[in-house]
Amino acid sequence: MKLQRSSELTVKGVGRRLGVALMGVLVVLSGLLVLLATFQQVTARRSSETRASADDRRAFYLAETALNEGMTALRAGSSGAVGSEAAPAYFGGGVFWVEATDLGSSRTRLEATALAGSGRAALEAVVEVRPQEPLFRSVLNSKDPLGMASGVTVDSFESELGTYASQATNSYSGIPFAKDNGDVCSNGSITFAAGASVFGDATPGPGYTCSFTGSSYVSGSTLPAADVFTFPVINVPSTPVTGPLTVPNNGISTLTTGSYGFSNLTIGNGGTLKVQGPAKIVCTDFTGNMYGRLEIDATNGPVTIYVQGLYTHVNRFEAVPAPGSPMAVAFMLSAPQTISFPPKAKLRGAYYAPDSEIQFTSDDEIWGAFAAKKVSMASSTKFHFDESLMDHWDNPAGKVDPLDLLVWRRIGVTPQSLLLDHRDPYTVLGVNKNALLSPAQSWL
Amino acid sequence: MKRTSKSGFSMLELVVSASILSFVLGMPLMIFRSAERMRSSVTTRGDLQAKTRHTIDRIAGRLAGSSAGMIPQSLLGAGQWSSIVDLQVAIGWNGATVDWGTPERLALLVSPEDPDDGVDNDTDGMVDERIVVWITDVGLGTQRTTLVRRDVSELMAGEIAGNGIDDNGNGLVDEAGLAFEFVDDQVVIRLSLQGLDSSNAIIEHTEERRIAFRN
Repeated sequence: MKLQRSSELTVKGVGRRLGVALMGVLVVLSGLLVLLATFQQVTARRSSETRASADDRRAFYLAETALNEGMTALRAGSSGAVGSEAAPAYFGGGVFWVEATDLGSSRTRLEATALAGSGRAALEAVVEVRPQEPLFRSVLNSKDPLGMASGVTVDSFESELGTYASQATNSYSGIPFAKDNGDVCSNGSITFAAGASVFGDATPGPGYTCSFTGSSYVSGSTLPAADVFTFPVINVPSTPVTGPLTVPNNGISTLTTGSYGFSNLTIGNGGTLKVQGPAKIVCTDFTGNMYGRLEIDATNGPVTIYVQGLYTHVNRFEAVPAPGSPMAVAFMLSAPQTISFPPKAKLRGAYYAPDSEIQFTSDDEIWGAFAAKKVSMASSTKFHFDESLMDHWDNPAGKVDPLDLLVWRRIGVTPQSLLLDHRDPYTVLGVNKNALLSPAQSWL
Repeated sequence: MKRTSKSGFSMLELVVSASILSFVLGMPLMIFRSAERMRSSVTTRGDLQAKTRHTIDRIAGRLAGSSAGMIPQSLLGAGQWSSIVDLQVAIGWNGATVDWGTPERLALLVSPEDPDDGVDNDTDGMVDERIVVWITDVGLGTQRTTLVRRDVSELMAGEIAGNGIDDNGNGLVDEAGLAFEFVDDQVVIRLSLQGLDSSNAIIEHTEERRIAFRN
């Protein structure tokens, strides 16, 4: 047997051990690599699932935003449509569009589609646009109980359609009338003296009733209101005061469209103040002297006169419409006072005096609307509610969301190809992200 | 003999070197195991959070399309809870009224694999866990039950069974792992899920979401 030297034994032994270590390291490394790859795959899958879930949620919230944008557009008088598939609105890192379909009867169907990352969502809502509550909803409206004097007649007409005389073609028991929307309202009770005739509804306050004496007549409902009418506080616009405005006797002054502030506004005897609407006039005291004329041209909008002090209406003063114009003028009287219209007064337009009493004396004839704390009248006064007044002044206290949501639901995303393509929305739709408009700019 | 004795190690040297070796190898192992436990705990919590949110998303999606008037349990009012909701979801507008879908139910039920007996019958480390199901076409021949989520806690996290006290301070007493509370035209959904980390410790995650009925 050949003996080896101890040094050879050592070197060969070390070599063998090094080989084993290398193999061991390689095996461990391979194992680690496999583990790493598996872990990386699991992490990537989980990350992808999380991202997809988050994108779906983002798309859903974006679709809700889209519906709200469509509703906001509807409230503003737009069609409710926002953007389109070809030109969606960009918002919050995603895109959306809203299709609006007019269903008639003030109803609109909104279909919102939203894309965010790989998420897609679509929602549908059917909404109804309700009209705002008008400030002048009847010819007479009082906070306190209302007494209709004997022989009083109430009917309605529309100054936008022409004169009252041209519309008063109907008759009931020998009483001529135009339309039967001449409503009278009160937050309290309503009493009718003999011979009072109302071509319209008589609506007492909640819990109150109408009471009749003799042969009084109401053509419509006499049921009480469901809610108390809220008389809003007058919100006087802040307009710089430029001093008094006095129309000289027999003189003519003109105010064009705009806002005006006067310390006092006086129309002298036989003087005429012509006002072109839309206009807002703020003054402390207002005086209309004998044979004075306030001529209103509301062809392009109404005229509102805010009187913060006393309102004085001298005998034979009249507010009249310009030829061809509706009579859209309203006096907003904020100071508590008693406004007594002189006998045989011819009154046109609307008066809102929530803290005042309005008195109609003998043989007055009114073409307009009056809302006040208290209203009293002489017998045989003739009231003709001008329905056109309802279009110009809303009741801010009665203002509610004009949009009524009838139904809301999730719907399938269309076209379906959007669901199958998980690329980013801009690529899928073929649009340039930088050229997209904001939602408000995308109203159609 | 003399040469042999010089080339080896004494017993003391072997013991010392073995101790050092086990310490050097043991420390990283301990750190690794500790980190692994932490990772497992964090991962489990993350999974539970994702599952909870996903489950609430699904439930909220159905409820949002319904109406308080179409859910009998909404009469319970604030401060009361139910782990079952019977609902109908709007499916359209027929020109005059809303078209409602067939009756549905979202319910927390005892897991069939782990009956309510205080024992871990399915040996998954959790006792008497519940399941959330969504039943469509309730009472019709086409009734169908879909499992929405397993591993729902029997009770909401922090609540002690049957003591009549609001232990977790959320305004509800002895509420289950899925609880619906109806407040005006809104519903508050509360959900507790549980899971096990790598050391078989039970981890719970609770979320709540308030949604408004759209119809």
